[in-house]
Amino acid sequence: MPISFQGCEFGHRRGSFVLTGLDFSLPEGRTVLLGPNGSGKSTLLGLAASLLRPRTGRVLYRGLDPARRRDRARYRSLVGWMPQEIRPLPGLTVREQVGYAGWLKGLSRREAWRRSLEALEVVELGTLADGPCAELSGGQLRRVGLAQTLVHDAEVILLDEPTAGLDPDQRERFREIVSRAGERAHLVVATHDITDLTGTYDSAVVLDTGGVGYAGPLAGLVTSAGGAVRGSFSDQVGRAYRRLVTREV
Amino acid sequence: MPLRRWLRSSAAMTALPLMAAYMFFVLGDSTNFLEDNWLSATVLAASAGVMAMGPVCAAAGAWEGARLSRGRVEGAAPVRPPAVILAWSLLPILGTAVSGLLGALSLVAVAMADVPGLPAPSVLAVALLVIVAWTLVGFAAGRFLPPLLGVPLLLAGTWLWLAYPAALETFWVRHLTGNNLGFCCETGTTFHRGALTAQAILAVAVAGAAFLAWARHRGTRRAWAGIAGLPLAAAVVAFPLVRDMGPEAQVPRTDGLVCSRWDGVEVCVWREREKRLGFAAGIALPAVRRLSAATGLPAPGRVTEGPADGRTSWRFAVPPGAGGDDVLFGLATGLLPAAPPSCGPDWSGADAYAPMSAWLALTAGAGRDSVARRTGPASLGAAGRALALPPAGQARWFGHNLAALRRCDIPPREVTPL
Repeated sequence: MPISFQGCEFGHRRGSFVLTGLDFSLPEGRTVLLGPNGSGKSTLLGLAASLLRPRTGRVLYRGLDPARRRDRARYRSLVGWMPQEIRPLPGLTVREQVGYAGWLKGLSRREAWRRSLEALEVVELGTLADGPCAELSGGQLRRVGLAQTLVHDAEVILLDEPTAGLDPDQRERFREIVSRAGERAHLVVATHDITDLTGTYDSAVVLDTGGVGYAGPLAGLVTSAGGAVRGSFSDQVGRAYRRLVTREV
Repeated sequence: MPLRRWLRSSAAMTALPLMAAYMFFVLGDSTNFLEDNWLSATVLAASAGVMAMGPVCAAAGAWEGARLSRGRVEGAAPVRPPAVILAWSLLPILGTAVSGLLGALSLVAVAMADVPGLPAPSVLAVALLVIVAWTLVGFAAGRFLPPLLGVPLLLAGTWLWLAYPAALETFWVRHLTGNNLGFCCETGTTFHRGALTAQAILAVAVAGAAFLAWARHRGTRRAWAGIAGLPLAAAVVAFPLVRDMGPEAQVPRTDGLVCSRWDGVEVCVWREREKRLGFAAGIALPAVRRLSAATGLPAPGRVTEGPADGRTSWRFAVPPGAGGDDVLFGLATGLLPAAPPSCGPDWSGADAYAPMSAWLALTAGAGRDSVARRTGPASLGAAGRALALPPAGQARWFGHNLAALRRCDIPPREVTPL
């Protein structure tokens, strides 16, 4: 994959480092980014989305370094980003919101408008396209957020806790949509919720105490955490993950 | 997204009716007091536009700034540069401001229907610049303040900034803030370029600082230096341009005369009054001959509404609606000093002004009633006494009293009626 971290360290101003020694590449395909609260998942995605700049090292995708001004626009057009909280612009309809996001990502106004409807169809919000965005439920807003990452044909889509706070039905529905989105682009989904660990992901990255504890195929996570355990694959991964982050191994 | 869709959601659409109503209020009856020149019309439209739209656009900017902030646009990792994102949000507000300015111009254009000429684009451009600057200040404030606080704050704050300096006796302040040209310009004057330049410089700096405040992250030292430094630097550059200006930002006009020659004398009027050139010449030329003969002053080669030296050229005025006596009175008083010498409160020369005006006007050919209305019966009586003198005596009377008007040590003579 595409996005690699080379000797990256990140810390907030005057604060201690949140992430240290990042020297790895995000796996290809659909990747789940795991870690307990405060482990730096959002920070890692923020670095990958070019919203944050590492104190040392660099982030690269296709040779583009977003810290360099000349690379930043191209990098950002290739990387889609959905934050934890979707905050629509007051006064916009659902389609306008997605169209505006497409325009922000460099599409022409006409192209952004045309693609906005297609993106909304993918996230099953086509029927609400002309409704006010501010009136959507939390689950629907997440889907708008996903549509915003799809509208500009990003090659890598970064989703930060996309199912947090959703009820089980919404969560299941969102997972299906995310799974479909993963067929169009490389997908990185950050979560601390191990119920998200289904077979929809190909790889996992586990963050722990400011560094990467594991990065590789999802199945490999079980092995790296100390071997097979009983239960479904999802259960095995979940237990392996817990062992890894709680240092039970 | 189509432009009409973007316009629909913009605060500019809500602000437009408010601006239109306030614009009508500000313009009010002012069009009745317009001079017969397009500069005064442009200045009125621009001043009303800035007063009406500046605060509303700033408030709309605060709303839009808060909207972008609430929508976390910068957190969406946009490809578009901040300036483009800002410009796109600014567009509806600026469109509204331009429409408002054009609307104000249309209103004053009705009053200017018969006046040749065109609006002054530089005045309109600076007005727009001032509005843009305050709209950007609104955007910047909207980034940090909730709309409930930012919108009224910008509305009131900008209005105070634009309106209050006119109440200060420190005149240069008003010439920097952007709404000082409201008094400009009679047809014989034009705006002070320095005031316009000073406003433009400050507006650009305020706009730049506001953009930095909006686009940069909090705490960035270089950004804060720019935010504070730009307006300060602009004030330092602009201050000398307006430091010595009086309450009004106008200077005598030097161009725009239309001239024609009759009997060896060139008669010039402002180009707005070209239609009155023949009328003016018909009144002024015989009067010039009479005045020259009576006063002993050499006949001028030029009679003009523009700058005149009082020897080779004499000054007069032919404003719209002015009759023959008005023209004659203007020509006559144009021979007297425009300002008294600095002689203190006991200076007696001032007593000569009205009788001399009366004598000159009567000599020029003005009617007695008309002169009496302007100078009063006492001055008319004194002038009548002078007129009873032989021509050489009249010339001496004039010469002595003209000197009394120019010097502190010569008292006037025979300026009271018998």
